[in-house]
Amino acid sequence: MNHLTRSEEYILLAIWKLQEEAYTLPIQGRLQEITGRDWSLSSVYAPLERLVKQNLIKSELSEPIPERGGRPKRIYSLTSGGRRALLEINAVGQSMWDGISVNALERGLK
Amino acid sequence: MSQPKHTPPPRWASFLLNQLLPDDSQTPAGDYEEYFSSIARDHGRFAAKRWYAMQLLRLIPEIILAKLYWSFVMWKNYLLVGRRNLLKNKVSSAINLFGLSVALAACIAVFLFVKDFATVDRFHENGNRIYMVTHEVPEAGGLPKWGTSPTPLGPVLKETFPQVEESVRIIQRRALFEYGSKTISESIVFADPGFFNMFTFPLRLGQKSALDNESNVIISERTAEKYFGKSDPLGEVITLSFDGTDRQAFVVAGIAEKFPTNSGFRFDVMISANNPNAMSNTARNDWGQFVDGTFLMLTPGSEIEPILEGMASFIPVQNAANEGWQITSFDLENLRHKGVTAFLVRNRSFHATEWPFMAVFILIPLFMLALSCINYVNITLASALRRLKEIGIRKVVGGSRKQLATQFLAENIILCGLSLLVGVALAYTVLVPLFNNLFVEQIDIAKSVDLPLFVFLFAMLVGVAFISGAYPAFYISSFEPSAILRGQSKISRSAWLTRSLMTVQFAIAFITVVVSVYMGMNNQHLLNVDWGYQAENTLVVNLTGNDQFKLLEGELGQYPQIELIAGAAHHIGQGGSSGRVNVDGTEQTVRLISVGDRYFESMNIPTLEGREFVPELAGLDSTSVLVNKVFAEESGWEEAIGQSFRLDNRSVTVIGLIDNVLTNPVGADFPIVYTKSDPANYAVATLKVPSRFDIDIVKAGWEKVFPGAVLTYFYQNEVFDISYESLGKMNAMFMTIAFLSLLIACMGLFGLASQNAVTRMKEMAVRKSLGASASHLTFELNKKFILLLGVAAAISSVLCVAAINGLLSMFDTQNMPLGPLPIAVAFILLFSTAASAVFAQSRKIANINAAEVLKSE
Repeated sequence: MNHLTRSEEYILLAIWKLQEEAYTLPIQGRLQEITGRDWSLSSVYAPLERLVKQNLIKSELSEPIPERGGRPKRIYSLTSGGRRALLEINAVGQSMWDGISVNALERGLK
Repeated sequence: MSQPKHTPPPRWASFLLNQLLPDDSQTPAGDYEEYFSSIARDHGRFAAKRWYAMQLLRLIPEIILAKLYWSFVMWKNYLLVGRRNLLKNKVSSAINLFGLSVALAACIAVFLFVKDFATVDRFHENGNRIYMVTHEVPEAGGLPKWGTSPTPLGPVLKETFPQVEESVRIIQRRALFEYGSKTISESIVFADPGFFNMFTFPLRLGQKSALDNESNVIISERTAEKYFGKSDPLGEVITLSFDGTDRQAFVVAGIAEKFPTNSGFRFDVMISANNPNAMSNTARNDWGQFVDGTFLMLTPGSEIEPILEGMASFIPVQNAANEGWQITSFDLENLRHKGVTAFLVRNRSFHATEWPFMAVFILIPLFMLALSCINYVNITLASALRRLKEIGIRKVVGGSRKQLATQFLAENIILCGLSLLVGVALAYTVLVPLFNNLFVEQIDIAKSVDLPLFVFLFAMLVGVAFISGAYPAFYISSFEPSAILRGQSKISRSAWLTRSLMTVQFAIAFITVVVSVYMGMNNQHLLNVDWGYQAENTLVVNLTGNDQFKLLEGELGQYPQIELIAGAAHHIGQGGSSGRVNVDGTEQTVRLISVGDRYFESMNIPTLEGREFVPELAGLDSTSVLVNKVFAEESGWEEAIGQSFRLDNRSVTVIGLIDNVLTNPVGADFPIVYTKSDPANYAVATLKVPSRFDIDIVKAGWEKVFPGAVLTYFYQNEVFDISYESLGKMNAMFMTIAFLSLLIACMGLFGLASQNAVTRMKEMAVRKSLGASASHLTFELNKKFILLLGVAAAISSVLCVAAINGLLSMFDTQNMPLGPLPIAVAFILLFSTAASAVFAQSRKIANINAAEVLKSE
């Protein structure tokens, strides 16, 4: 399987979640909102570019938009490979969590 | 959903972002703008601006790195392709490499010399406030400046003006330098004790204050080596004899460091001007007496105008003291900023650069560089026709015009870089030693490497690469790929440019050939000029002191083999002095030659009328002079004998008329007045000897009278040998230049012919198959070149005749006018070398197998 970094994983999830609105700014906004951490724009661009190269996401340009100074948005969407990768991660995660009680973790018991 | 109000980022920021980001980064730019807008909405415009500026700042290093990386990758590729191309076209690369290296070597060598000439005396730390006193005296042809000055002027100025910090006078004399077994005549400089405070001539040994003691002597490194070898000369006692009699012992108190190569002044032996041998006590306050130079050092920041006014007030004093030398004005010349015409100042003690000569010196390598650059342009344009496919393909697969131009420039830069390396090597191993040999100025190779040299080399590289490479690169990159690939090679070959450049090239080559052939023939002509007398039977012995002649005459006069011994203070063929004469109210400057009794008889020079100076009539001769034929003719005398005129404000009478003789190897006859010289002042002894004479007699006699002293002598027919030798050297230099420019031009022609042959292969094959003969093909292939050569030769021969004869008419010289012969020789040389350059190509074409050529492709 593809080993994705945590930020790549989050970005894939954010893209899926945002659907039609999945371009840089909302992606960055959602990451900030959920992780509570400051994400700079460039910390979003780099993983996006890697994901495009790995063929996990694709992009298309929107119509030009006045508040962007007449420039288009680049809207990202998951490819089938991207969807599969997320499913795999989920499956691996599920298996890894299998048999682990969140309650016990919180209380520090085995 | 209500549309939030949009706030665009500041215009400067958007502009900068657009410049920095490549075209395909529109999306991030949009993101940033939108983000900016949202920050402005939430946190205010100021915060948004700050954020935007921060982002931009962080972007810059990234972008620079990326740009560098990609240009590195591209340049690596350009250089690789360039190297392949240069290796593929070995012949044209070699032609370009050779031409450029030779031209660059000449440029580098000339630069090294010009750098010195252009910075003469700049190294003196106080140079900005050191001035040389000059003065003007009117004469028939104008108002020349002189570098000498009245003896008391310097000290008086120093006393009168507090802003004159230091005044130094310079007096030059000759004296016999005696140390151990060596006795050699040396040039002595007397200088006021402030000399070493004023000028930056560091002493390797000894103190600057050494000049305070008038029995001290400071010698140059060269002199120290000459007399003392490697041993330490400080404290050694030497003897100098001035005029042979005034012997004085001196203590060596200082050794000057080697003089910088750009020093306009050098000395071998220096003594304080307070020494009585510098000038007599009466002369020290005599405005009629002159020193060889007066230098003033002003206090920092002071103006020269008050000093100029002060000096002007001394003009009446000076003119009253010296009626024969009426000064109209004094002037000051800055040591560092001498001005372009400073070399015109007569009798300067500090040398100044002769710019007209320098201009010729600078033009020659530039001409050669132009020839080589023309070769490059022509060959590159011609070879571009062979590279059309490559150019087309590059363009089709997306190479931009800029990239293509860069490709051609890169090839050019490789070539220029290589040529520069070869050129530096050539300059240092061949040209600088050659020039050092030709000129008095010596370049110290080790010291010549400095920052200006590197700046110059870099500028040469960039300049030559641009001049030779720019046009071909931009022209070739403008080709339309569709036209090329469709096979319509109706690309304009920019034929007019190639043709006119070639014409210029051959015109230059032609001119240099004509000039050098002319100079060679003129030298031969000068060697054959009639001297006006028999010079083989006179032996000239150099004298150095005032008792020498009498002693020598006393000894040699007894020898029967020596027919006559006479002497002179000046000597025919070795200059003289100048004097002002006034014949019936007409003033003019003439050459004065001061000779002794029976000098002309000893020289075999006929006295046409009257008599020469003879010892028997010595009492009568104090106001007598002899004149030459030119002088008598110019004065309009029918009968010269008995005429009186004024010479330097004394009245003299002509007692003899001397035939015109050659006194200067290139100069024409000019008016000469021969005055009587006292035997005490004789600089030479002239011995009339038979044709087969044993010089050992003189050597033995000399050794007997002056044991240990060095005897220097020559036969009078060798008197111009040094001038002839330098003429020969000049000629050799021009021959070399002519040879090189012809070679470069012909190599260019060869390169062009071979390119031409390749592109016209098909045409020639068709012509041949239709029955054209080999000679017809050769003519057809080269008629263009023949025409060009003809035009070049016609233009330049007209130019040459006009220029050389115009120049000659300006000077009154013995040089011969430019006849048709040098031009004919140049014609033959040019056409035969050009023919041999295209011969190989023409033969190849004439012998081609038409069927093979037409079958291919």
